[in-house]
Amino acid sequence: MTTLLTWLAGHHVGLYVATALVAALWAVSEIVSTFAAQPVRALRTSGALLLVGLNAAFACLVLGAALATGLAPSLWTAVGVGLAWQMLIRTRINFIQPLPGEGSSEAVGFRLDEMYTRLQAFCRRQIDRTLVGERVRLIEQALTMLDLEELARRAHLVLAALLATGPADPRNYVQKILNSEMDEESKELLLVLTILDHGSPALLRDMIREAERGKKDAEKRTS
Amino acid sequence: MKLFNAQIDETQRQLLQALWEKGPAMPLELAVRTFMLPDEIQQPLQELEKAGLVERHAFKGGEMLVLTKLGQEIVRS
Repeated sequence: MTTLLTWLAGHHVGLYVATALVAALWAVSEIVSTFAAQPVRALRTSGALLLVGLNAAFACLVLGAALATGLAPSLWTAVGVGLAWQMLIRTRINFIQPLPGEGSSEAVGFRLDEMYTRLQAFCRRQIDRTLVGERVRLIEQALTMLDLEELARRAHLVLAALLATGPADPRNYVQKILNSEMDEESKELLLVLTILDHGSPALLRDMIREAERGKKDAEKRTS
Repeated sequence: MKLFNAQIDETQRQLLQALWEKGPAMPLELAVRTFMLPDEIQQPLQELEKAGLVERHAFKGGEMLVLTKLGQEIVRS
């Protein structure tokens, strides 16, 4: 136990943990602000976990490089790197020891930056895909359970409170959909999307639950 | 950038703004966000794609519209 503690202290493990935590928190805040409409759902995706882990890992890598250049191993260094490591690799500050031979610190910084940007984009795409997949499943459920009349009524209520910000008036949108030449299924789909987008996924889930309950009650009565 | 801004009409501006504010969307979702019918956004969307402001990403259930970096800059400017 003592040996382990000595080893941990000798390798500044506490500092790495602090850096990883700060970087992970930073990543969480980025995800929450990027997916402001569904922050909790976005955070639960595998893409989000990967992005948080990636941030922590890259920040630790930068802390390791910074400590190797002789930077004082203090808590402030760890927190500072946790907060600013993205800026450090993006501005290619010369904090990494130049490698002997052809490699330069700038090249290392640049490659890290490029690699992180690609991985970050990959994680964001994964989060997008998961969220869209969830939306598609919810839409399918709504289309199976709810009819045009009910959807139109709820969509109208959702839009009633919205103010026109562009040339199209939100309050006329339901009527516009109903009057269009689209088939009934397309109209239902647009109304479901209206409730989902201008109302909330929770509202649509409640409607589906209500319809399921109603269906069960009706079945009980007939049996 | 100013040149791009001058070439974008009101509908296209709304589409870009909707993608910026609520993130990537399926084409139908984008229509709903802007209170338009799917037919009404088809042409403006194609033009935005041609101009490199919006791109389509395929996924399992269909396709998703995403703002490109240039598209993001246009909305911000």
